[in-house]
Amino acid sequence: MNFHSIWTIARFEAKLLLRSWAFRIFSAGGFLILLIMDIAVGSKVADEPHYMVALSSALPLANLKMLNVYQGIIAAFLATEFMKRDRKHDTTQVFYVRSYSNWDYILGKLAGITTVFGFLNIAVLFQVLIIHLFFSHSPFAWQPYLYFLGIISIPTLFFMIGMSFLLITVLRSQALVFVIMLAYSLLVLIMLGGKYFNILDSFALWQPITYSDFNGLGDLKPLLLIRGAYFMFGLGLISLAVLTTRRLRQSITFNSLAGFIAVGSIAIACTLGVMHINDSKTDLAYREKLKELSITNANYPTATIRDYKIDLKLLNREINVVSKITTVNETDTALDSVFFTLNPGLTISSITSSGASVNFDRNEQICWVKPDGQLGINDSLILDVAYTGAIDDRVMYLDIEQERLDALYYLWMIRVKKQYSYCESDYLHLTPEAAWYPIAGVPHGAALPASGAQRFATYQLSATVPAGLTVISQNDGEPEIVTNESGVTYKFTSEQVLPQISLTAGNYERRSIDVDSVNYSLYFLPGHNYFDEYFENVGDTIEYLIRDLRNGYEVPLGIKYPYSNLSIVEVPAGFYSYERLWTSAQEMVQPQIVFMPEMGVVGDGTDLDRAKRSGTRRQERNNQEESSLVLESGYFNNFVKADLLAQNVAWWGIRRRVDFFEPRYELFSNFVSYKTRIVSDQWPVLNRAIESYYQQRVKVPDETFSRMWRGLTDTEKANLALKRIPFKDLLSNTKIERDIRQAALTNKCEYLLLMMEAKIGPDIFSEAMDSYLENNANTVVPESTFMQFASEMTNSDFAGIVDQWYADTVLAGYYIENVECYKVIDGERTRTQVKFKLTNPTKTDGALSVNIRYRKKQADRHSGRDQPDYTRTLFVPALTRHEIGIIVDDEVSNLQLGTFVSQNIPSVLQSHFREQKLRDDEIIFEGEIVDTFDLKSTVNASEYVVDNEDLGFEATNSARENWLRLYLLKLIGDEEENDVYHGMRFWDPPGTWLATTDQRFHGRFIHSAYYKRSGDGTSIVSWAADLEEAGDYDVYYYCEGEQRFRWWRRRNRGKMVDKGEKQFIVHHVDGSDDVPLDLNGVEEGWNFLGTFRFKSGENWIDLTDKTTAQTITADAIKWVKR
Amino acid sequence: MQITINNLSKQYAGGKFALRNIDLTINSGMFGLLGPNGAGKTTLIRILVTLLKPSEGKVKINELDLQKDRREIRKMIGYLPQDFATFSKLHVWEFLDYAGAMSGIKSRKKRMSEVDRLLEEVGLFDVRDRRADKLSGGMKRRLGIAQTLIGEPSVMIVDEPTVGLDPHERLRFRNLLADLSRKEMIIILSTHIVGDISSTCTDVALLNNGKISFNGSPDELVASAQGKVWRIVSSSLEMDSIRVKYPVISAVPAEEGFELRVVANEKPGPNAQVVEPNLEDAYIHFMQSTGYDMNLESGDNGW
Repeated sequence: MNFHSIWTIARFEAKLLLRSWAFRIFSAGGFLILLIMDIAVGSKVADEPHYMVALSSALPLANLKMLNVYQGIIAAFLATEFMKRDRKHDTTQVFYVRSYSNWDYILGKLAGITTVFGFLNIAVLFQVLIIHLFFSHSPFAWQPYLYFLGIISIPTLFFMIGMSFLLITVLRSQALVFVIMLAYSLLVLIMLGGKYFNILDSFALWQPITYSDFNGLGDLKPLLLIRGAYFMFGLGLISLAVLTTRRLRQSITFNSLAGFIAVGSIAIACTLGVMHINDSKTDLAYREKLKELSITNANYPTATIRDYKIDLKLLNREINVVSKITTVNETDTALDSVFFTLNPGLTISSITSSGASVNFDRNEQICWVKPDGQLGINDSLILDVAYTGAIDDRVMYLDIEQERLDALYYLWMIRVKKQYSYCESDYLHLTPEAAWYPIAGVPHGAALPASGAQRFATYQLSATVPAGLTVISQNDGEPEIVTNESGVTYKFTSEQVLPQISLTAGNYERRSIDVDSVNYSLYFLPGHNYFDEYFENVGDTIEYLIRDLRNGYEVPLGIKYPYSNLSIVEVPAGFYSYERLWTSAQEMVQPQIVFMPEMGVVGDGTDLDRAKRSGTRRQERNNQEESSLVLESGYFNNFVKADLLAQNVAWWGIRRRVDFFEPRYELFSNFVSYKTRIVSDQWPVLNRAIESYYQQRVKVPDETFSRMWRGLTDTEKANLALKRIPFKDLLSNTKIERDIRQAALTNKCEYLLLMMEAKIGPDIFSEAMDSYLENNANTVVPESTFMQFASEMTNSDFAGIVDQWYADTVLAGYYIENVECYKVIDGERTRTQVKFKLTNPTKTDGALSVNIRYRKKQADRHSGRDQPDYTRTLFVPALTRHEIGIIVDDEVSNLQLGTFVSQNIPSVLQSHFREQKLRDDEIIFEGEIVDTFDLKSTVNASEYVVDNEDLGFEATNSARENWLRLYLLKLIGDEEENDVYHGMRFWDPPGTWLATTDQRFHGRFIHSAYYKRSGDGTSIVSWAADLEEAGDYDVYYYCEGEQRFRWWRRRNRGKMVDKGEKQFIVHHVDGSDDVPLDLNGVEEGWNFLGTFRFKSGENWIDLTDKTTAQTITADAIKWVKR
Repeated sequence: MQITINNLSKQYAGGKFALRNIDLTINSGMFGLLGPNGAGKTTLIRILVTLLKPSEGKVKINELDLQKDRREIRKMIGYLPQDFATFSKLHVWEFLDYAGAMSGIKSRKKRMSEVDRLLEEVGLFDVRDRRADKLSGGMKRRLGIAQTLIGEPSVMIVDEPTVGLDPHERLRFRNLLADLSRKEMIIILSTHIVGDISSTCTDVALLNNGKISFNGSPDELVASAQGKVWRIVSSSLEMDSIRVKYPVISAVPAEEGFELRVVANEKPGPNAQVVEPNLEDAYIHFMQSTGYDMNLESGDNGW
């Protein structure tokens, strides 16, 4: 090897590259794009998204990832360009005849190209650094800059350059090679990158890479395996190019060396890749094994654990624990042996009882303990279990489908590595899911529908950690802290029986305040106090804010916060948890503790800068000054409501933006889920139904806005699914999107008890429920106990109701008519009357929620949504008609009628009221008039209505929809191919008739219509009615009115949507007539088209797509016999 | 200094022989490799400069084997290819610097002085800072010569260096080569332009159709054409018939029509007179005698 030659080639290669316009334009362009991006998403001057600011690694990571794809492709181009240039002219031949080996030549080229790209990377990082340090709110860490350069950029560069070198030396056509490289890149970027355990992800786009200020890069192994494989593969390809280059070899030694290196590197690369795949497969297989074990063992009875005394030491990424557990045989038979679950990463060294060692049999997470004699009923056995090791995450979330575990946790360009526990030398974070202390039997989740033997217990924890770390766990008041030679020991004692405890130890700073005898603490990493600048003026007011928020939550919920302290603890961004069917509780929230992700990266209310910006904008808009105190109080309220109380879910928040994201930070579980629990083999979701009943007391109804974009809300999709599939099967049917299943779960669970409440009266019901909760606090309730309670309370066969609720596919449906709102005089006062008619024509009992919001409060709202001002649930038995009258004191802004689980689409009807007129002559009506509904009485023999949902309706398309457009729409997620109902794409109406829904459309339960963009008149729809008698009929068309898209139309200066006319063709006995309907004068509802003579039998009316408006809708036609 | 070529053949993938059983010995001094386009000159040269592998045969430079001792041989060679172009983004001095560094001059100082010396020598010192792609054709060719000379090669191989140059540059280039030929080194000059070698070459080989058809001094070549070159004055009508029969080297308009210079084994016409042959006449005569179609009138050879 001749270093002088390599150096010379590299030097001139770099010089030539730097002077080539292709490279200059590319790098300047890339640099500029990234600079603009950084200013837009990372700097204070722009509306930067919080996650870009929250993670110290976000900015360098996003930049390097984007640059990586860009430079990977460009490097391929330039590498081929430079190799091609070498062959094209004889120029290089004058160099080829110089004395150096081919190895020197290729290495020189490689060194030249990578050096220049290296400088580009460094230049980009420098730019990021400047923005990061001086123009961003983001905390700073230098490590990401260095690590990501090595992990992301270099392997990709080597791989792409190596592949292009090899291809160009073999194929010799630059165009062909570049096309191959481009096709390869696109294939990886669009299709293959995320597949097969990310092994094909040469650009490092899918592989989770993040740097956390808590634990750095986290588990390095998969990173090193995949990125190492690409680096080695690149090296191998480069060495191969030495052999395939066209220049006659000079040195057998170096050519052989290149051959060896090529074979060696590629072999190493393959080994690394195989190791990664093996690791991943082993993990999967191991998880399966653990799952099997849990499921098998869940069938055995075991003792419960009622008391824990845990002594834990954190030593060099391992914990060393002695748990003294008191097991009690609460089964109805004597037990020969008992078993518990303990993390398989923890090795049990001994189990003793009163100093004598006890036999035990360990199989992964399951440990069977065989005491000398039998454990009689209600007998207890105290065991000292000594164990040591590190936590194995694979035992966690055994019940969660692999698909969900694999779902990427991404924040734009950043793929966060999910982790469920942390056991580092200076950071420890263990939740019950980690099974870091013995859990009686198997955990609840590990073997659905087994209920688990874990009960409420008393806990004492002594945790010794290196000096400087703060330990956080459940405790009564402040923990006792003892400093000793091995570090610092924290001693915790639980104030009451708890279902579980967690343990977190780290280098935390703490802020705390006592309000009404509850201590509120915030634990965060030093330097992560980004919130301080937003709360400069709040000061003591925080006490009042907390009190107000607490009261505002506790009063409607009807339950008091049960503990004397509440901590919010910052944990790494990657800490993740999953939703479960049978409880709303998640690992993110433990008794007394809420874990918030690093810098509140995915919180809704933690984006304080956004809150500040929207506050400023609101002030400007309303032209009124608000004091800093008012504004800052707003930020605080917003944070608590959005993240901790889930009452104010921001549209920009991650929960709205992405459907994969499961962690929740709701305090709710501290009020209900951790206080009592029903275990039911038959109806595992029963516990969730009770939680949902309470949760809805404090819940803000969901927006239904998504219909316009998505066609249907998740609830509606869930209802459509529930018409086909019983609830119990739907929950486990993975073919149905998780969102839809989730919506079905929430909706069904709320519905069960709310319907009962509406049936027997809200006051009696809620009182009974509250006392049930109080009586069963801190216990696990058997299903039979609850059934008995519920049956007595509702005076019904509750088990039968639950069974039907669980297994039936028959849904109620409602007609809602004559919604009115006006002012009335009530004695001295002017009040607001809300009236509507409600019919349940189905044979299933149902319930309807009524939510009313007042007008005057609108102005007070800061952002997002609030709870409604008036709520009520109506019981709507099968085959009944109701006239409902509600009187409220304030002017009404809108009325929302939610139909829970029903056939109705839209499932929530919204009525917005503008100014309400006073009607002096109207009599005040408050209450409900109930009448029975007779299907026959409503049938009008002389009236025929054909809706687009009916069989008589048919849509004919003259042309197929453009496939490319459909594909693109699918790609951007705007449209789903198999959806029955589509969103209203008024900005880009479809070329074929598509069904869409809106409450303004006509329909029995489903208010839908067809729509398309205007055409040449060849695409038609037709309504056919089978008329019994021949004769003259009045023909009407149902028009949805003009209100829709008013704002859009205003913006587009009136040339939009439904202006113009519709062209009907009425076919009658004398032939057919073209009948236009001018949309300027139409009213919402039936519009008269004319009177025509029809024969008996089938008659039809057509509507063409020819119109001067941009879109045309087709809804319903009515024939009325004269 | 000696290059020995033994039984050298090159057969391309399609089966076509570019070179067939070449035997040559080249000694120090300027060696002219003459032959028409497609004769195999470039193939031979590419083999000599280690860009191409021969199919058969051996080449030795002194005692070094061209196949086995590429490292040493490449250190000895300076090569100027036929369509030499420079890296357009490099300055003239940078290009030479690159070539110098690759030829093994490690010291930057030494390299720079060599660069300047050679630029002076080829007359490019004034444009040393000019971008290489801004040079004229002749200047580029001179830069090419400079880069072959850097690192003091003992074998310099120049392929068709004067093609496309204007007469002034061509002359300048020939003088440059003539100067170089005084050094103790082998210069192989491949060309199809006889004028390039007439003045300077000590030895010349004629390559035709992959074979050596003559190897000797230029004087020997000229001598072989003695009595075969004629001057003939003809009318324009007669000229056409002469052209069909014999290669006409030149046709100068004269009072009675044209004065033609013709290569012919027998007297081409009654008024033809024998004239002293020059190298070009000899080349044409030789090529014709080896069966090469020397019909010099482009209009009549089927185009």
